Amino acid sequence: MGKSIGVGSGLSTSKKKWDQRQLWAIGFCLPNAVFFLVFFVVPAIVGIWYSLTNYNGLKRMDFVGLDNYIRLFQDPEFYRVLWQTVKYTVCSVPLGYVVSLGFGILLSSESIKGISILRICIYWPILLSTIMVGLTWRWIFGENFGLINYLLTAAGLPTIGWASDPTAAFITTVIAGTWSGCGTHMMIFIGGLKQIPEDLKEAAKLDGANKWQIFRNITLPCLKPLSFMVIILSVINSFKVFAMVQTLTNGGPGTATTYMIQYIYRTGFQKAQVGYASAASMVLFVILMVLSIVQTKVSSRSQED
Amino acid sequence: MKKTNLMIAVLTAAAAAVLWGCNGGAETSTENTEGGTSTAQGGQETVTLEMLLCDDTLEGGAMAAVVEKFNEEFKDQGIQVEINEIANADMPTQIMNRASVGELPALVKYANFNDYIDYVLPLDDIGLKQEDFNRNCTRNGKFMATPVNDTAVGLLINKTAFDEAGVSYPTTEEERWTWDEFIEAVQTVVDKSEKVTTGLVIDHSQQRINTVLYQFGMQYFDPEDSTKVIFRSDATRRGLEFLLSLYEEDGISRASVGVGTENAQDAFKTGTVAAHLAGNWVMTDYLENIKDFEWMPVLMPYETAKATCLGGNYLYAFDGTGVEEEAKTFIKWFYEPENYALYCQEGNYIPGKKNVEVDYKVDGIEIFQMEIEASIGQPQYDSDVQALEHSGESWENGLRDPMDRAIAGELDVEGVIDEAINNLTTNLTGLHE
Amino acid sequence: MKKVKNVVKYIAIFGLAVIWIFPIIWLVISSFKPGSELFTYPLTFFPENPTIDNYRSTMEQFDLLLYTGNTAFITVVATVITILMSCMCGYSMAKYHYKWQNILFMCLLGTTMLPTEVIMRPSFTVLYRLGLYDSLWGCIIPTVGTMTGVFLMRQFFVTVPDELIESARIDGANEGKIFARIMVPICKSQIAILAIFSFQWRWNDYIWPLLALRSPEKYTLQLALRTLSGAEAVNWTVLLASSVLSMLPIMIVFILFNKQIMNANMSSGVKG
Repeated sequence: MGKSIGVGSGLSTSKKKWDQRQLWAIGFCLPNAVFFLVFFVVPAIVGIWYSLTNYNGLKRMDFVGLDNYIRLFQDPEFYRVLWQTVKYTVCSVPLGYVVSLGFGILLSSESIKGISILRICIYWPILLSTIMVGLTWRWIFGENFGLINYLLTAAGLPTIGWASDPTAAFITTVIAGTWSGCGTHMMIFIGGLKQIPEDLKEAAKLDGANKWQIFRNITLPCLKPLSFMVIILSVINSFKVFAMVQTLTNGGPGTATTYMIQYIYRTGFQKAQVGYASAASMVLFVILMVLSIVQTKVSSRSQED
Repeated sequence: MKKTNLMIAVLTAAAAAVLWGCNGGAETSTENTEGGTSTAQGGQETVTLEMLLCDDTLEGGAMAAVVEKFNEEFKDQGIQVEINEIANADMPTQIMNRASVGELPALVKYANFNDYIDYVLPLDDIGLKQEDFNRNCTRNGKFMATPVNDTAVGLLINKTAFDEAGVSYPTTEEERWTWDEFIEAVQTVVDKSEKVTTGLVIDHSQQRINTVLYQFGMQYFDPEDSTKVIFRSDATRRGLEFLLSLYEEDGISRASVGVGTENAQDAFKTGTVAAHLAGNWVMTDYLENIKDFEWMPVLMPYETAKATCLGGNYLYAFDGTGVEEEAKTFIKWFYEPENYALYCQEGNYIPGKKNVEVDYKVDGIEIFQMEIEASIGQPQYDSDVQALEHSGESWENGLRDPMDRAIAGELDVEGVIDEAINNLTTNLTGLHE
Repeated sequence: MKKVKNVVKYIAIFGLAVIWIFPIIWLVISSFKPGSELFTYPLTFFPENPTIDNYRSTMEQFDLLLYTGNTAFITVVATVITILMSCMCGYSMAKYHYKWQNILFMCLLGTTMLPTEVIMRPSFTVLYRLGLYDSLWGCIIPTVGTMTGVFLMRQFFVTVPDELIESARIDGANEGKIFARIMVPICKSQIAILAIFSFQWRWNDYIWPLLALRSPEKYTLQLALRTLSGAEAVNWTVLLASSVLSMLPIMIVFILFNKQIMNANMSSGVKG
């Protein structure tokens, strides 16, 4: 891919200089490209090969053609899990975006005393491992020994079946997911907000713009590249949510909170159907790739406007 | 100023880290432990055997204690065992990965050896026989693994709550409840006790579900023809209906525990539960972590039959490690009465080997041994069929998964039976209904 | 009037923060409860018999120093490499406009779409063939090429005006110099952010240590913590205490880098 020809933006002074520049560009990207080939392309190709076999992780490995894919597309459970994952993504991505942007704006203001302590508090959840996040929330949402139900009982209210009611369990995963993920995005937003030149805002203020107008017309557009990145990464991450949910609800009740990766992991490693699980991974990969390309296209179109 | 401080901090950390890395590297180049290695020491060869296991510390460190004894005795004979403890959830990944590159450990203690049977070292020539053990470990005529401890399903009750409610509980065969009597009993406890809100919790485990179903007369395989699945029966239906009724709105159990989002063991520990259908190993945990009420194991209820399911760990060795003889020496030594009794005593284990006298530190293990003796043969037959005729195949949780969905209201009894049979026949080959 | 409003604002904000971190506070409080109290019902908010036994048995069960050392080594080295690579790649993608870079970008984005969990076996094979098995480097090398890092840096450099580079070029600086002398210094808040991320990822990672490590003396904290959840039983007391302990080092690092992020400003020569 390094051989394809660079497109100069009309400023090309001399051919030699551009080539040197391209060499630098390649050089800067080279380490990542090499790691990409070795630790992603190679395993992915092997994964594709597995998806065409009935590999069980040990000695059995016969070529079965597209059997795994056919089985997968005929499996109602696959569609159910996929739909649940989409539902999770649709709920948690906008929620996460709003919460992290809100916190970002709140915490980037320097006028609040003790702001660093506040920032540390909000960011804290992201420092926990995903497994610990699940663990933490189990102590809150537990049906018997959980804090919320205890408080509800103390207040004379009926308890909620966090673990046995599918909707309640779904909500716990969304809350825990947002909680654990939004520190990262908040951090990115704070970084971005710091880069917005103060004089832009000052000028707008002098022109009589109110806070909302400043936010709408200056802050948001300035954050556009970062917003794009936050949304695309959180979509991908929501699709991949795994270890946290595994500790929190273990995909239950029934399969109400079983999302894609857990489904793949279950079939692949607990039921020793590595071939079948690989096929599911490849389908997931294609779905995410299409989503990202669409998002990139939409974003670059809106940036051109 | 601040910047320089930070830079210094980062650089120091990096330098320290690099030093650590070099140090670690140097350390390991001298004690390169493959499945086992030999290092010459003062003219004598010492072989180090790696033993891969999980849960030992969690269960009281019984294996660690026995290995320590072994290392002491074999110090001068050039064999040492080194325990490598990893997480239970990581065992399959570790074994499969290491098998794929030929770096298997010398010894393993784990609940599964069937899946790795192609790599396991036969143990025919060390003086241990299949007849000495409760569970069948003979594959293709070869004795492959030793059942190092048996686990049985049994019932534990909140003794304090039962006593306060004035409800009696069975400790002898004659007193055993039927399931109806049991429900009545725990219902009384729940009604009379202020604290207890739930009658029974059952572990989220296929083995536990199976146990209850066996008590209702369920069978997986036809005793006359092991390729015939006879799971679809009225007995199974009655058993499943009974189990599902426990999780209904007015049932004696909790759906959250039934589907596994809440742990039965944790629930029992709150003291709000009258009884727990569990494996015998929970006793170690309860002994340690229950202080505000008394508990004890009692005999399980029955319907048409008395039944319990056996499970447990195996101790076995891998082939091709280069230290097979030494690994056999260890296993042989391990089952000498004195050493083996120590193991069972330390971990409160039910011995997998017959005729072993153990002086337990806790009361109540004999209840589980009574369950094993009283149990019908079908559970053992079914598990033998799966182990012997479907070695290397697995339909893991093929019943529990549809059960979960049934408890959550996604399936009915017929749906559970259909799903379970479907899972059984697609994952194990050569079966028919 | 204004004062009252301010007080209300403070209470609201800090109240929110306390609710936000309450789950963690609850976890920390729970870690001081003895095992028998952890599951009593009704719950007690504060431990009735606070104990540090959980921490003591954590110390006894685990060689914490060893595991922390291993984890720290992996984390620090991986973070340094990650930052370097991400800066270079992100800069290149933002400031040079060659067609192949778009392709590479999509390729790298693809890496986030197949989590290691689902390609564990092939990843292990690659690792083994490279001779990284049972070495701490096996937990470092495969993880340093991170898309999120490249993405973060690219999105930042996109907002840096091209004139800055052009003027440096006119002054005769070569591309490497421009990157090292002009670009790296202005992105230090991004570097700090990425450092925190990377630190967090590597500190909490268990997949690569699981694949790469075999000898107990090389295990990381996360691997050791996982042994506390068994087939049926979970050692809650030790798990809670050790989780709290494992959290401390990243807290410290975060507090260090936090200042760095907040003090950074674009004012250093760049105007939008």
